[in-house]
Amino acid sequence: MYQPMLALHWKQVRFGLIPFVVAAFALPLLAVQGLGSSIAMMDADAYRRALTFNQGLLVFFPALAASIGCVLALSSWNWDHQQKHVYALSLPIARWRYAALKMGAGAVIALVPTIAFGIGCLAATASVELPAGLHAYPVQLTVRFFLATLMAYSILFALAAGTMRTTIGVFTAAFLLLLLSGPLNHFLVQMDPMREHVHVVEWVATRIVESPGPLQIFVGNWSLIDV
Amino acid sequence: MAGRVASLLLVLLATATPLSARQSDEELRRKIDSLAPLIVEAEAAARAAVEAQQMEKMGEGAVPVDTFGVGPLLVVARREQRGLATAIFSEALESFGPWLDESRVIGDALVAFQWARELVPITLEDEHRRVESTFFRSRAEIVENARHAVGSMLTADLAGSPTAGWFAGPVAEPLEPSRVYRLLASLPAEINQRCLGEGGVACWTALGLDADDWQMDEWYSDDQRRDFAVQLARFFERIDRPIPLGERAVADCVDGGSIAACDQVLRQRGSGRTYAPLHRGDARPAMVYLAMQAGGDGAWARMLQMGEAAPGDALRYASGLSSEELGDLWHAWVLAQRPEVQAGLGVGSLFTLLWILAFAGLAMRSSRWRLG
Amino acid sequence: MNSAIEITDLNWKAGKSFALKDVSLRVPVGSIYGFLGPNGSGKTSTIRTFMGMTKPNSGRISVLGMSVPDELPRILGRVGYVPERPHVYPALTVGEQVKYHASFFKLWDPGWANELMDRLDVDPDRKIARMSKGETGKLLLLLALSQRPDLLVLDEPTDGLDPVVRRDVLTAVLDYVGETGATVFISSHLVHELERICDWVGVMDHGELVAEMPMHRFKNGIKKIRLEDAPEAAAEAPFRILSRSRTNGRVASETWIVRGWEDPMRMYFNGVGATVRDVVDLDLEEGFVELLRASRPSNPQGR
Repeated sequence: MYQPMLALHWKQVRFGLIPFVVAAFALPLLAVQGLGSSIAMMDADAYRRALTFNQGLLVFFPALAASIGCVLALSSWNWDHQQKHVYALSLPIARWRYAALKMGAGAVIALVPTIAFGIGCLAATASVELPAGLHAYPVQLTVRFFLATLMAYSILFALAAGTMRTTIGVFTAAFLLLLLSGPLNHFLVQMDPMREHVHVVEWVATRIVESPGPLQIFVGNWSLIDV
Repeated sequence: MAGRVASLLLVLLATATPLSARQSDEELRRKIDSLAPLIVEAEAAARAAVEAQQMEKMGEGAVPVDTFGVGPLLVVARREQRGLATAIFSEALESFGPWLDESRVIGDALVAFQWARELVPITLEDEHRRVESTFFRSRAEIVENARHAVGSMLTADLAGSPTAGWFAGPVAEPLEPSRVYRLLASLPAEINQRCLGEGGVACWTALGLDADDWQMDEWYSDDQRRDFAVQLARFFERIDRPIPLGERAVADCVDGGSIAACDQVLRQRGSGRTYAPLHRGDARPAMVYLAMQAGGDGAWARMLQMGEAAPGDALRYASGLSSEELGDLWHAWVLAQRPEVQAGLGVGSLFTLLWILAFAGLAMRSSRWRLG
Repeated sequence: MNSAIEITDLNWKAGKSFALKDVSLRVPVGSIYGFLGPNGSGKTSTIRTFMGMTKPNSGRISVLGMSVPDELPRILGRVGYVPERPHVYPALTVGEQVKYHASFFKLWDPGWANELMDRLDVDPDRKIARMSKGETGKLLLLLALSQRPDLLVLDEPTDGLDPVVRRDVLTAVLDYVGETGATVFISSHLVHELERICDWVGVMDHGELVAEMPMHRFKNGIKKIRLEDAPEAAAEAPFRILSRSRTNGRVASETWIVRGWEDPMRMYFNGVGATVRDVVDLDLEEGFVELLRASRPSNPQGR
């Protein structure tokens, strides 16, 4: 069952994935452009400029991983949603197994852009000569890229696997939080003006993006070259 | 403020032009640099005066204010916020040693502290005395900013001294110390790599504390210096300007590859300050802070006594430590600031895996009742 | 197990506008059960409910002797389903779709699938996205039959197909039934199509099952009777009057459409002073239309 499921998902997503695979390969190479073939020969200012350029591009790494995760998750359920799941529900398989097979297929396909990214990272690090204090992390960054892709994929996949009612529920909760955060915050400040992380939205956002939150993989250091 | 300082510097540069015929670039630059703390001080003083005036007006407008001491600081705040101001500054002052009491500027300063609006928490914005914000910050951030503001005020004590020209920043532990590690580890100067590995005198040299005027050959390898000289020559060539470096030295360096000729080219551009490996960021202020902490009681007073001395001498005298000991102190501190390289597989990745499994579990609960 | 499908007191509500109301039906094992009803009458909703796709508000459902939804995977492994609208993946070729589908069914018969492919003239290399409606219909039937089902559920399988393809599809179904004795549940609004093949019929209208009987009874039991001197009231009639109308403006001359008619019932009219002029057999379609007319609330003679 798994192999045909994998083949089906691959067939559905392969053309849509091409630009992402190209980007995954090219981004690491772009990120070291300007660092030249010999960083060790650069003066402080030139190096700073190049490194700043490099750092600027780093935001695209998690963004790309998130985009790939989204594309995989949405493509995974797209046809089922269009057909109101009639075909899937007529198959002699428990719903949880069907969802598990589908998710497993997408997770394996996520390896394709990840491999492209890994090759890009290795090629990029091979093209620069680093001073002793700096190290390249192509393998670790590739693992991180894969985890980030899977993270985005699993969130979107879980959301897409739910009914429209679930999706509306999630978005309504988020909207209500934003809507009510103002008055709630006003109340909390009155209660304790110097409380830590006083803003409710900020508090929630911090829980999400800081360890051990679900989106912590997307923030922080995505440097291919680091100390 | 930065814009106003820049304008002032431009005016100063313009008025300094006639002198350039008689003085070297290096001397002029040092003089201009030495003016910067004065400008900062003047700005701060002006701002403090305006704020004190505003506070007085507030007092006239029936808003009662209190002036009170927190350690060596004199703080003015609205009466009902006195407790809050005391707590914030007390916490901020904890990271300084007894030497803080020896500062002249701190003793004379009036620090204004006020709410921006009734329901907005106070934030120490900017370096000295600005105390309002329209967005929320955590208490920890406010205390950090207060600590930094006090550290910045200390620099005014040294205004005009060679030491003040050498470091530009607050005498406090940096807000982001890991940046100093990154600067040390990532810049290609040979001396940086030696400092990283050996500490001691290598770090002292990397920080530009050696008395020698010409340190390029200690900072950079022959190849690196040759590269700088060639780049310099090409720069003048590109902008189509006569090369003020001596035609022969340039030819010997670029075409002949002579390192002596290359050094000659670089020497003609000054002592190599442009290429100083650790002259940016918080590397140097951190060293001053560490030296003061090591010197303890009387350290700041000794620092002030060494007003016209070279920075290295001033630091040695104030701290009571040798160059090597200070270099080791800074080296140990900077190694402790090495940031976690998050590209690696750590606990965070484990949490991510758990989250992925959790979302997969949610997806498995997908309902089959979805029609109708 | 006497019933391939047994539904008892099924209720299901979709929004405010539509509901299945107290539907109880029984599909005998080995029968070809025609499920009739106009568009929007609840045929597809009933099918989806006993296929375990929608959750009923109340009622009991068993398919092939197993309970829905508790044993759905086992049930669906023995049910071939052709839905109302094509649901196969347009990105795949026929061969790929067949391979994908086969992987879920233990009883899948690849030899039979290949034979059907030849017989129905389905090209395995053809991309589904480029197939006509008729070709897609044949593919869906191929998928349903190749899993060797004990129960074949066909929801409007010939809707929109040209006569040749329609004949191919029905022939394939009948061949399969002839060979295996499987039960077929086929829904359609094309009454005449079912007339030839079904041995049981159920009629849905407005979410209710308005009739369920063997086909021969359905076909023979609905008559058009022309009467003279028809009585005003007919409460004692041994048959069900579906409709009555005056003929040629004469008060005493009427045409009745009745259900459950048998010839000895002429005696009833003698007893009430009426004269039977004519008894005409209605074909299934006419009977179906009259049945629906009678079942609707606006008809005072209706149920």
